[in-house]
Amino acid sequence: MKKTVLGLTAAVMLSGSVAIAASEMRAGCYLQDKEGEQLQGVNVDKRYEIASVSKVMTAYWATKKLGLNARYSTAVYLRKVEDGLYDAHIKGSRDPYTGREMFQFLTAELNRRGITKLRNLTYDEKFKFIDQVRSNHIAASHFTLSSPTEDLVMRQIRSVVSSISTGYPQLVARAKSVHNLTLPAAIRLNISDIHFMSSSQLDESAYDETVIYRSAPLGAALKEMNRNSNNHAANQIFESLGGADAFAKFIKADLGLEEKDIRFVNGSGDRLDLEDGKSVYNEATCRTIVKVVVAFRNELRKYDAFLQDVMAVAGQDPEGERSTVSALYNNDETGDALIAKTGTVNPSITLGGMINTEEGRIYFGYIYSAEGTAASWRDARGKIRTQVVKLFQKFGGRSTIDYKATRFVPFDGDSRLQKLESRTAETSGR
Amino acid sequence: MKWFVMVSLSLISAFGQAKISTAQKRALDAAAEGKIEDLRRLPKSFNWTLSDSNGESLLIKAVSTGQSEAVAFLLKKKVKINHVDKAGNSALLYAVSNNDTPIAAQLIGAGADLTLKYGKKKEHILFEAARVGAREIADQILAKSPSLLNELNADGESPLMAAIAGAQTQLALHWIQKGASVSHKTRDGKSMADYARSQDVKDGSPLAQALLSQGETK
Repeated sequence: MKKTVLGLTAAVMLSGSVAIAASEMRAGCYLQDKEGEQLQGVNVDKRYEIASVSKVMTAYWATKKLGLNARYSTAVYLRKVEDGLYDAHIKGSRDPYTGREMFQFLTAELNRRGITKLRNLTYDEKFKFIDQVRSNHIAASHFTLSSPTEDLVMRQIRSVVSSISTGYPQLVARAKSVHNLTLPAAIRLNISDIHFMSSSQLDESAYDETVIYRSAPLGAALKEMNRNSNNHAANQIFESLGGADAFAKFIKADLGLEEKDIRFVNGSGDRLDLEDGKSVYNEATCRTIVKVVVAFRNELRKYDAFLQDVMAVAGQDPEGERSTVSALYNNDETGDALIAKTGTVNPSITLGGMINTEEGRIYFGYIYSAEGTAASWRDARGKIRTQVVKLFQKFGGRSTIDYKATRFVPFDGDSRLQKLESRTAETSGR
Repeated sequence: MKWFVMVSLSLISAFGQAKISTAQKRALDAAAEGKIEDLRRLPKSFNWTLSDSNGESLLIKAVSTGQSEAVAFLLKKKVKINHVDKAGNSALLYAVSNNDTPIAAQLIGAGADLTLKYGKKKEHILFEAARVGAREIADQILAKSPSLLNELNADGESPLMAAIAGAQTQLALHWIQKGASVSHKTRDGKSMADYARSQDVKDGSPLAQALLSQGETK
């Protein structure tokens, strides 16, 4: 009896101390881009949670459906109340980068048209506004499919309006540097009331004119989305294309992939909470990851573009805006030659993309188990780091990509507000 | 017999995993997901030192998922900045592991202990910075604690050796310029040149030249 009690005590004491479960490879695979080569790896056809590697699939879908140079068109309806005072309604397009910078540009454009005071500003359900939409903490935040709510959008707009000049000088400098676009030195906008008005309530005939804001090209948004793994942007893009059911139909028709190969619930790869309290995640096989990366590269070639134009390159980030790939996987062996998307969810740590080696392009995917703890995530990332380095070494080491990243601006010279001549709405976003 | 049972029960209650209430679980999730409004709604009497069954505190949750606003919020509360989870890791270690410069800066500025040791090799924080090439974070650490640059782990390895082993040449060169010693050996006799060779550092390369010029010979 004494031995039993002592044994039990010891067991409890030991179980209360260090308890790291080592992360293990659930699946790993690679394909050399060479005629006749076959996919190599482990558990290549088993479906697992792929986390934010999902964003590569979302980006591929958007490129195939809309085109790399497509733009999100947001309509602004204007009505003159009296001299110097207007009402405005924004018909959203689920532009993934609807935030402070876009609003500042919009304000500059309204100012250019002589508008500095609004009596009412209304917006609809597709105007998914988040102040710091590009920030790392927003990128990593958890969103539902309907996020942000109309109420949160209103509070966010109010917050931006009350501090409209914050960050504006930096935006002016960046717009000039990246697009040679000259913005006014100062902007101002006074708004008496801001509230939601659903699209079903919009009476276009009640407004004097409609002007259209067009976002920067889709490719720029995809690159930015993948840079810091922006969950909000990914979900907006995915939902604007039709959501999970539409994606399933697309991926089957396009690449012959079925539910056993890939099953998505959102565009970001973040968890989706169900009503019964359970959570689900996007899942795919390692083979699917490689298949989509290859297909994406082939699609991009039609635009004379490459994977590095839409995904992060380790060690090649815009100044002051490091990607998740660079933060976690950049070193002498991988730098300037690893094009990839990172992934982190409770059950999995992932990495998928392409490496450029002395023996050519190698497409790859890694899915490691995790327990939703910081310790298991750290362990998994260390192991993936080792795997990626080994992959480079297997094929003669890295061959650096000649590429220079540019900073993202949500608009460009073609974004200036243009009058909609016809009453037929030009807005995109479903 | 009685005292065995009493001692065992005391130990079990001391080391056993405490149950977390629903409200506490929501708070931990809010920290991990950066839901500032949910954290703000917590009562003043809330136990900000709360941790889950893995020993992950609110602060560790927020740091590990890159929630800089939540980190800033929590640092204003009575959190234990140097709390370690059951893996023996602190919030600062995770910030460095993620190469998250803004969050690491917050923690260092709030007084995170830079002398904590991690893992079997008893390594200080600069070793983690070496592994991921976190140069900016390392500079912040060294600004506060310059002696860490040459402080060894239990195996006698230096942060510079860890940087070379981690293929972080730029960081290694930076540290040599800052005065990292190139001439000592580990407990099992490995020199800096051995580390360079294992990473296939080429003769004539900037790193090889830096090691030579500082007195390390092959």
